[in-house]
Amino acid sequence: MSGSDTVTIEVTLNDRSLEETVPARTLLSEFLRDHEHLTGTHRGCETAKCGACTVLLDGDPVKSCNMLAAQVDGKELTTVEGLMDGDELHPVQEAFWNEHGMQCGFCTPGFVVSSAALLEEKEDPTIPEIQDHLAGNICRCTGYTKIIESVQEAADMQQEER
Amino acid sequence: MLQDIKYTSPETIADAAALLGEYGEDATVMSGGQSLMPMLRQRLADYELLIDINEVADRDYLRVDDDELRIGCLVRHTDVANSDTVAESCETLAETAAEIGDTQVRNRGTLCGALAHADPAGDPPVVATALDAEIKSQGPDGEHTYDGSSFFHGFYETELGENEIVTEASFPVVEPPYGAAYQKYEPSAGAYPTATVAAVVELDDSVVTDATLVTGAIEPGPTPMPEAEAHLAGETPTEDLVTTTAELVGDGSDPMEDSDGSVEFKREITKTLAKRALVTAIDRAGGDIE
Repeated sequence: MSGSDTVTIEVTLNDRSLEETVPARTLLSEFLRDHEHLTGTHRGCETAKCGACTVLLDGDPVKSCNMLAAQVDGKELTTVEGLMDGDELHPVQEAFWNEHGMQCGFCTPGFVVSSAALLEEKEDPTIPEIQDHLAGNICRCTGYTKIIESVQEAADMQQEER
Repeated sequence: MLQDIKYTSPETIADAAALLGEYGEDATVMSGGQSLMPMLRQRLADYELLIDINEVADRDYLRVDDDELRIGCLVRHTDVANSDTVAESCETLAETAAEIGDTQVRNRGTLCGALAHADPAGDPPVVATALDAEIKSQGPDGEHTYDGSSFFHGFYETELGENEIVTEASFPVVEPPYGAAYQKYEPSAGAYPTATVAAVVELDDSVVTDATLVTGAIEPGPTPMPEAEAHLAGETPTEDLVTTTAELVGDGSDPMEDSDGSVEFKREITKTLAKRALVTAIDRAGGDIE
């Protein structure tokens, strides 16, 4: 056994099963944007600091600029495009819309994806819990207050639905 | 874009070690990849082959056997941070894991990977040194075991032999009369720490019989502070003793000056961290500070 220059990956991407062969060096963020044309996953710092490229790997937030596409073989992947239920926005997306949890919007997909994962884990997170969970996402406009209000609003919406 | 690279994901550690033996310095092992990927991206490292060990089975265990907390090489920081087993047997390790990087980094990064990588500002090496964790590895010539207290040599260097892979780290169960604590100062959330201190104490009838104090991040690797340890050993902890011990930790250190702070700043912050770590460790050991 030795290494190969290309890898074939089978992945469930936003509930759709697909198989693709890509160069081994393909980053997960590159795979999503350039191969699958899912450009909601933003590439910001490219050094695993900003979190704009956050996606869910088997439900857990990870930075897609810091992984190889080869590593998602056999796994389930959700991008910001996959959070919607048909035509209906995810409660986190709706809350960011309602509360205007963004300024320029570049970091927003990463924050939305990370926040959705938090609310899967904790129904009613406290402000410090939200801050801690979102520490890997950077908003260079520094619009953090509205982002945290959006997550709280999303938590309220989800609880009302239940 | 990443440079051209070959990729493989062997299903056993033996296969991974054999490949490392074959490729030598032209290959590297990837577990969480949270330090490796940025190094590749920034062209600080270049390899012909990436050996991804994430497909190896049964290496994500986390259990207590014979008073040892054993952690397999695919256990993520998140798993360590959220584990009841770790919280009950080695609270300090759970707290350390919970404060590494950020959520996304903790979801991928592994404890054993952080030990093998030995970043001077990494948290696990300091705790593994202070608690004298046992570090197991496998190479093409079989298995090896190392003492955590002498494993790290600073600036990404360890005792690990050529072509060896860290397979397990085991930590002692820490309960009274032992107590441990880890404190760090980071300039911003998710950043590498500027200074850290780990403290481990053993008490006998409210006298400190043994003390271990290790600094991190300020020097090229985890650094024991023997003068401060000797100052504390054999004494009954008082406010004054804890303060003078913490001062010896700071004054005995030899920090590197960089953009995170001057030598003086790092010594001062180290004293503060040492005091906090000592107070907590003594409390956890069941002691009182008079």
